[in-house]
Amino acid sequence: MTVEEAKGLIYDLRGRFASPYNQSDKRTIEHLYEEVLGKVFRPTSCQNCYHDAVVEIYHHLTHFNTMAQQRRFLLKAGAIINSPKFDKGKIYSNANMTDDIAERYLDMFPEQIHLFQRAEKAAETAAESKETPKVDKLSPKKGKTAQKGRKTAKTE
Amino acid sequence: MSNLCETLIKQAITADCENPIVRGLEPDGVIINRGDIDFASCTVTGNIISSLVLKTAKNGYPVYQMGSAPFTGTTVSLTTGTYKNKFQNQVVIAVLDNGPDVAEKIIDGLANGSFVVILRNRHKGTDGKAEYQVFGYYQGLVATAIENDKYSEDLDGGWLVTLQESNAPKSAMFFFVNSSAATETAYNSLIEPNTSVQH
Repeated sequence: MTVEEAKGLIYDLRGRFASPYNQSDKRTIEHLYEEVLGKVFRPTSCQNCYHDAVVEIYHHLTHFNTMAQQRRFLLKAGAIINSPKFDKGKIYSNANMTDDIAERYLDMFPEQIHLFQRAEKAAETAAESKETPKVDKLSPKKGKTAQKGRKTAKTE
Repeated sequence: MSNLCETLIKQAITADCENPIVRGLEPDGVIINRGDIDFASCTVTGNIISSLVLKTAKNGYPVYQMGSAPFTGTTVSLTTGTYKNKFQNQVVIAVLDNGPDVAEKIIDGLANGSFVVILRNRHKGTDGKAEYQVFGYYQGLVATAIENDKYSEDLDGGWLVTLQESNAPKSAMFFFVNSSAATETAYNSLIEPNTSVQH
């Protein structure tokens, strides 16, 4: 989805702000929330949570004019990065981990690939975009982890 | 013999006067479908789970209890056996809501599933290792009683769910990752929905 497409949808929703949203609108808001803000929308028992989400998305699009970027690295739920040998023991979770941090971590500790549910190297991403044969996104670095006998190759 | 499990006591029985034990649980916890846990990626040392990781695209669900005594009825008790004694864990959850969504997405699931629950003790221990207690890691918690009393003064027509784990080999399991801060981050990451995009 492009920024313009997202803006079109959110302007339409904002135009009907005074009335309750139907199920289709709610699904659109949930989708936009993730595409634009990079967060999963959590409906609560709050009466206005969908309207609040529309305001949040609208504010982001009008002020920043950007969409969320697709992440190349994503930890599994419950997994964190916290090693005294990496970034002085700083604690990373999906909330504050960037692709660069994840890539550096896996370069240093390739056997920890099992903590990731998504791990695409930059080279792999570039290769995929050129429509080369599809690679297993979660395959560890060849050789190193295989020697340790861990089951690390998992599919999404 | 390396394959003979030691069952000896290994420490003096005393009270920590500087950090006295306090009863009770914090009002929040996490419930996880046991089948969603990636056990191959989990790490257990003694009675500490230092890595509790879920499978791809899975996450846990927060449980929040109201009142001054959240999760009342949560206990651990000994079960004697012929060759080995084991433990029974019980977790009681009050669901202060009702309706089609609650019935379908919570109660029906609790009735038939197997779960792992992490609760936060008010007693944290000297280094925070005693805070996050894990129930159901070995055998899974399953529902043994679910009640919806329309005139209950405590529940106001909500649900009371009792989950039990029988024959757990260890008395208590704790979730602790390197430090209190790291454990809190890992605990919170269990309930964060997976999102594939970021800013």
